[in-house]
Amino acid sequence: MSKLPTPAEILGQSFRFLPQESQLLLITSVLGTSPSWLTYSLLHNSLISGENVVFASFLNEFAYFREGGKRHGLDLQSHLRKGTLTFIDGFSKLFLPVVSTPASAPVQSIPAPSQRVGGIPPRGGPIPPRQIPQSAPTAAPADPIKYISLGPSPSPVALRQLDVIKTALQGLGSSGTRPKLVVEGLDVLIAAAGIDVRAVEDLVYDLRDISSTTTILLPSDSVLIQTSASSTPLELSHANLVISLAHTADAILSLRLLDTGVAKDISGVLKVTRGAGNLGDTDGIVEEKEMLYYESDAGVRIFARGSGGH
Amino acid sequence: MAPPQANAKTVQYRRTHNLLLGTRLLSQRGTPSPFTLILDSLEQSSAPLVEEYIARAKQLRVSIIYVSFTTLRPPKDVTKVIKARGKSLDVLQKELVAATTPASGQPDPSKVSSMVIIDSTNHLVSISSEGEGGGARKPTMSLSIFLSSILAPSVTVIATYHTDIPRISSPNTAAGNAYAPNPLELLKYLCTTLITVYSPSHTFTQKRALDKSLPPPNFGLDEGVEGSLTSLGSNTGWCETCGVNEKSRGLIYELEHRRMSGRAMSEWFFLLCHAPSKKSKERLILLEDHPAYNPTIVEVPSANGGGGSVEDNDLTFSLGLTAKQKSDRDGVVLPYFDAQSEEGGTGGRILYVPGREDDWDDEEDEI
Repeated sequence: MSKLPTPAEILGQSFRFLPQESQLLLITSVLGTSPSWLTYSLLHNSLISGENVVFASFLNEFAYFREGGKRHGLDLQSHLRKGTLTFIDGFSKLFLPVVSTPASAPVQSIPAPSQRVGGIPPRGGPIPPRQIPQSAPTAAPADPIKYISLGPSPSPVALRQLDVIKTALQGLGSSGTRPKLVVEGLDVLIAAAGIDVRAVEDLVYDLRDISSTTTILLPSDSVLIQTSASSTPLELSHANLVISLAHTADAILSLRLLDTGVAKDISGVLKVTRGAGNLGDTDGIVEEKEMLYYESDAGVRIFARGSGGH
Repeated sequence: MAPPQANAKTVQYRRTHNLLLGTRLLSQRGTPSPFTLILDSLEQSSAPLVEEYIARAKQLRVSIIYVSFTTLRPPKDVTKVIKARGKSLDVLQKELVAATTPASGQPDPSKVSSMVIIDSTNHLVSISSEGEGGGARKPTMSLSIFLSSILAPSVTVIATYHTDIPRISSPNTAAGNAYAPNPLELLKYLCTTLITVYSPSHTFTQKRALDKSLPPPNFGLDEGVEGSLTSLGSNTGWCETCGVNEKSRGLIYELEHRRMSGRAMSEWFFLLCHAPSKKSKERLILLEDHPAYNPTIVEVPSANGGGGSVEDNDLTFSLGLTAKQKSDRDGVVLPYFDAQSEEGGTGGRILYVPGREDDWDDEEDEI
């Protein structure tokens, strides 16, 4: 079992996750750094302390996180079975035709893969071509994973499909405390599904309203956030989403590669900065810091610059 | 605009006039500013400044209406929160007008009775441009009509605009909109007070670089680091007395106030985290009066006269001087004092008149 840095190590000793406060953590990463370990660290912390978590991903399927979690000693499968974790897969079936109810007739017309708009490669390297699930009505009720399908050519009406996340949150939050929420890959909705950035921002706002701590993972490569007068609407939309979320966030955790090049015992740089959300009256302060991190089979270690990590 | 260089000649004048105006604007007293626009960025949020406005308005019993587009946790002293997300401009305007109209029928025009705070004008801009040129849809009102409809003599508006969020103009509005000004320019034109907030830690770093004639470093999105959105030092405040685990809310802001006559006043302020001393409660000072920005600042002499910084409480004798000792000391004529004034300026010549008892050696000494 490997070791992961705890959220207290990352965000500062005095920072606390408040059960009723709609906090927002924004995790940004660049190509070449994987923010998954930060996700595992947060998931581990929440699930161990018995909190309910809704995890939605538009970039990876559950198998990716199950394997990754296993490497870090986090058994997501058992939490999924227990019901403390709800996984919403917005990746596998995002552009497949909408199935009205799980018990209805199986999908008849599956569009050829070449016609689909999706096909975003997952971060964890190539995966074997997916078996598009043919009719498996007996297995469907037992499958605890919820899927989001917008249909082959998403229309604004298809946005209602995203209410699955909302329902999942409401279902878990009945017992007084609100569940936590982790969302990965909201940029896919803008880039691939053609959803307006304002609709995505509204969605985040509504979801934050009914969850305790929301963690959002987005890429922040310079080409995506540095805009100019000649930027395309897609670039503008992405930058708009990332920066507007950063304006309301409690903490911004950004991962990037080492400025000086590749090193064999450093994976990248983690920078934690305080957002405007942390300036309010709630107690606990986000400690800003810049640390190096190293991801290996033995876990992830974060250490100060110059301390060599030993 | 770059922050001012320390200027000893004008600072005394600005310390009295501009600081007074700055304080009055912050308290919304005496000098009215119906529309205050605060420009902020990821490096420094306007939240501490807005909270200061709210705290001062609360003392004056002004009803505070918070229009929330993005904030889920509004500040606690707010009278009423209007959730504006998803609402059209018309609906929002009706709600705001209803909220700001005084309940009793006798509004006092000389006193501000309600304060409207808008947490993200970016969203207001985006909903106001949504309906334009939409053909089938009923065109929504423009931003300037919206703002002028909620402004009344008894209402003051404080709006925050995030300058670094890129604006997306809908493709279908481009045709009708080509000659309209950029909404930010329009807002800047309409406002009576324009405030730009800066992070103290970043401003001080830039000042130190400029003092050594080095190019000032950039921060945030302009830092030039791949994948980096914000820099260290963002939203950290600046306070000598705050502990590590306390939130410091100090910030620097540039204020431009336009009087009704058209004359504008521009000044840089530092909003302190705590009151500077027990005697003065005012947390607003000129940026130049902050020791971290201007290390050459003249310390205000302390009240007990002598002693100064020397800790003389546990000494068995007095280090200070009495008035008589002081005047005696001033009267002492130092040796060769007159020589300096009369024959000085001719270099390092030694003034010495040889006496009778001097053993004079002609070969060695030449005077």
